[in-house]
Amino acid sequence: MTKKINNSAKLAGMAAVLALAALTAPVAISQGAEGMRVAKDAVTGELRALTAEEHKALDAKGAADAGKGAGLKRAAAAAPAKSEPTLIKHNGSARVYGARMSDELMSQSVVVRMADGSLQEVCTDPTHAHSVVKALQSAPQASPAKALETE
Amino acid sequence: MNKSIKFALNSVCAAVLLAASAAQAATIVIQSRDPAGVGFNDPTPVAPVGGNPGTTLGQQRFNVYRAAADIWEANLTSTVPIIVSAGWEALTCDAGSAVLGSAGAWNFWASGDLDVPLGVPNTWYPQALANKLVGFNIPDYVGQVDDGSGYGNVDIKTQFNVNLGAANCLAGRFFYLGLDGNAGPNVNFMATLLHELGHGLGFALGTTSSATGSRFLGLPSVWEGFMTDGTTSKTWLTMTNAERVASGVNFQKLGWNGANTVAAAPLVLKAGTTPKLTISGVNAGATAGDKALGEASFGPALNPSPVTADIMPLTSLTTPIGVTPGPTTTGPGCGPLTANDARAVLGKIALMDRGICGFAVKVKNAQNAGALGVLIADNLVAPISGLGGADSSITIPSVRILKVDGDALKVRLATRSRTSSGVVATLIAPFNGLLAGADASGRPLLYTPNPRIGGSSVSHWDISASPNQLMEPNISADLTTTLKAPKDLTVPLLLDLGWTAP
Repeated sequence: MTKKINNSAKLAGMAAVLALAALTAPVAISQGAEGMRVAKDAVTGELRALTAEEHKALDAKGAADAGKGAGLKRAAAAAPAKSEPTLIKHNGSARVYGARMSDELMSQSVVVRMADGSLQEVCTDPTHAHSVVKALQSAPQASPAKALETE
Repeated sequence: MNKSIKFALNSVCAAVLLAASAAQAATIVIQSRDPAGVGFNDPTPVAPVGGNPGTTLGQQRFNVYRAAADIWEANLTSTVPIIVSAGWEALTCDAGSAVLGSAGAWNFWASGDLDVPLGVPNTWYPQALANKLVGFNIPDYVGQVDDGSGYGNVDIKTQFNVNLGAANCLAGRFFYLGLDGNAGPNVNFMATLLHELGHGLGFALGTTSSATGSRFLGLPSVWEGFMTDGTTSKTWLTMTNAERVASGVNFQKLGWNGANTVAAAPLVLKAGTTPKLTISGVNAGATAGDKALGEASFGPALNPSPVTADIMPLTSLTTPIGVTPGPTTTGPGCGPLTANDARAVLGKIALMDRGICGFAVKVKNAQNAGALGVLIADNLVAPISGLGGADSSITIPSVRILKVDGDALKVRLATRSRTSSGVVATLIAPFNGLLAGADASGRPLLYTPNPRIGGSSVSHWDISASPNQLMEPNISADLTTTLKAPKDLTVPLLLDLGWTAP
């Protein structure tokens, strides 16, 4: 019986994740790796350090984002677009190729407090973490007893 | 050092090591990135918990890491130490959600050079597995220096949230640092860590993108050859980029074809069953045959052991004890059965109409009268649905049937005796030849939702697996620390990739 409910919760939770997974969209980079902010210069098109005004504007935007799920949203926005590994240029002469991954290519576990107080834990990646969290937070209570008529 | 001399030395060393311990359990070294007073070095006093004897928060965190590493060491062999870089960091979180942590193989290697016979030529392997296959540490062999990060050459990089449980970081919910799995309302850190280390050891698509199907440097990852698409019968090795993308969202059609895993699947996954209600008997007449049914959310699920008996209908309406009889309280099976009905259903399968009271109430009253099972006929013409409700004291099976089937049965039951009818119901769920979480060929299914969920898709088991598996995308509360058959398919999959077991 427990297993039935567990599976139902598992399915319902992941179904909610599925429903909203497509909502993830690329966000313009305004904040790079932790502690470093950069801007794309409108004239030269090159990356440069932020001006004091731009720092203030970014701070204000961050404060406005504060709220449910905003942390993960900011993290997604901050993630550099490092969507593939980098080649390891080694000193050896052997024909061996090396690939260095990045934090953005790691597996990432997120946890969400559901409406009934239970926790749902899902393994995704940093790019999709926000949409997965959002989907779980909007998931209905996963209880077969509530999904079916009882009399 | 001259490259050929260096390789010769490495080869000799590797050969000696291999000869000395052909099945040497792996050694996992945990390298902390934490500064003083943080993470593993947090001096906050804590009480020992769940088999974890640590008396500071830092000690307990390290003890779980060590215990998880010990479990992996006991399941895999390698003569080359596996280096895991670990840090406790302020990861993203808010009041209702948090990043728990992340992990993965930090470096991958592929070789087309006979001097470095690394598995399948020109195929990407996660570094821990690559090292295991060649018998030496590849970064050392190629003279790869650290990139300045301090963890550039490690096998697996991990980081977990140092703030979990603090205000505005899933407040009040912490990493459970016990080793016994009794996490209660908190997050089972052992299960989470075992899962993430599994990714780092190779349980992941790796260097190929599931979003675009493209391969880094055009070389496949070792993972790709083990994925067979049930629609095209192709593995990812022979697909185009577009075909790989399509296969990654081919819901419940992508199976793992590795021999170790396929062999272990019947020992691990539950045999699939199909619930069935069959009517038979000398008086069944035209009602004989299989009927549509809706399963109950309470009581035992139908299973391969049949429950068979004459069907006996209730003839009286009843009211719960202490409740005033009336049009909204008195109905079929709503109270203790009358003496006649109780005698009729004893050792039989009771048939009663839906209505007035809850399904679970009706079934419980029939159970109290000695019925072996219950059919509840719908009182409306409607598509078949299940029986909702809950009562943990119900021990007999029950199903819902269509109104049309209930009406037909009542006609046949009109000529029954007081204790038999000659119209027999069999409630059963015979094995259907499938495994729960595998395709028709017995290949365990990978998670391929549509749309794709990055990081989850393709690199986990499908969530239809039963019992729950460590490497499903969601961490379930009932996981154990056994990573191989008959509990789990994680180790068999890693053996398919090239790992060996002690």
